[in-house]
Amino acid sequence: MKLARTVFHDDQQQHLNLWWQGSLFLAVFLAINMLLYGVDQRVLADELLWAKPVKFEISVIIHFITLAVLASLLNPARRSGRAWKTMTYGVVAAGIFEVMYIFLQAARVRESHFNISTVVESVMYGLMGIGAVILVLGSFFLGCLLFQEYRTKRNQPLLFASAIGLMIGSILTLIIAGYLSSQTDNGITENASEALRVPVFGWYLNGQDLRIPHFFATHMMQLLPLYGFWLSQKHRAVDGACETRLVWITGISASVILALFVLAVFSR
Amino acid sequence: MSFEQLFSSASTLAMLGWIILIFLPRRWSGLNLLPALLIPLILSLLYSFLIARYFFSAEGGFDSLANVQQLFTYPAAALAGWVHYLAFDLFVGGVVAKQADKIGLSRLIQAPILVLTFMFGPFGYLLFMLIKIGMVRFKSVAIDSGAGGTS
Repeated sequence: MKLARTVFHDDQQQHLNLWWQGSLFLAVFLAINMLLYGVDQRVLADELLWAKPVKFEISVIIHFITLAVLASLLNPARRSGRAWKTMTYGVVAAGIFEVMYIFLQAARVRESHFNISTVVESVMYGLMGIGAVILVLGSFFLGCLLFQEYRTKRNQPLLFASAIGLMIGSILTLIIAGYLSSQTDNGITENASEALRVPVFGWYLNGQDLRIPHFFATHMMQLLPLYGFWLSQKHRAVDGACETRLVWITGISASVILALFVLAVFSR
Repeated sequence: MSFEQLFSSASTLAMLGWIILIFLPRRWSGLNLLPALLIPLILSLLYSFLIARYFFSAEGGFDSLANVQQLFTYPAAALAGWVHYLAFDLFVGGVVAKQADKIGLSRLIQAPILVLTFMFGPFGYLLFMLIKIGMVRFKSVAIDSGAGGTS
């Protein structure tokens, strides 16, 4: 596979573009964080202190790389246009802010989410919410730009799958994360300690854990483009049948995610 | 001027340098010289005065942690130590900013690195050096792996 130059660099520039610079910044944080994870065994809210920053660093890096790769599908005028440039700055700034605050709170052995115990922490939690919305808006906006691109040049399954993956994934993430942030805590009931937990992720399998639909909604933004990529490697044109197939798969995935969300909301 | 006033003046001066470094444009070379050279030099002058005047009359030393702790119980020595931090952290910040511009690191990414250098000196420097290695390595990897292809 030959990656486009524009995945890594802005037009007419030699150095890495902002997405990769942001990913590099977070990757260095992740490396330092992994070291801390290995040596510091303190626990916060039922899991190792440094586990949460690690998860967020990985998640934001994946988000940045996804947007860097998929933005390279845009035509040069759209990619270097003011709207996408501004969105890029906003999303990278928001992602770095989120990770740095989560890291800082872990260092202070304090919760970052649902923590409104001091004025500063309350303001910071509110800012994290705004940051999260900007992160999701960025992917939704790119989805819209890709969809416009798809309408002008059909027969590109990767373009179509990326556009709907980003748009639907963003909407679902916004709904689930919006509901989650409106709660005063993560909503897992006391008897959850008896429930099975998923290793690494730490999810509870008692049907109440909103992090599960949140995870799949967010990562629809990677899974659907990957499926589109697989289709394009098979040289399948986006004819009517292929387009319908992609829409069906998106619909089924979104329904499953919404069902998990509704299940979690009503079993609380 | 009291030690407290010197502490406050030195901190304000250093803060001015950090604000220039983090927020202001780099296209005016005269302005860049303030945080990169002039302010660290003024702080170094203050440090030199404090050391020459007070250091050798204070008890304690650098040979053990207990002695270092004892040394810093003296206000003049603690002030000198603080000015040392201010001068060197800002100087390192100036070097980081210059090198970061050279490798094309965005001001958006430079800002948190410089804030961390301001707050936690060596941590910010470590972060920058690792990012710098990554920038240089990643650039060559991206080109070698065929990123020179067309979009």
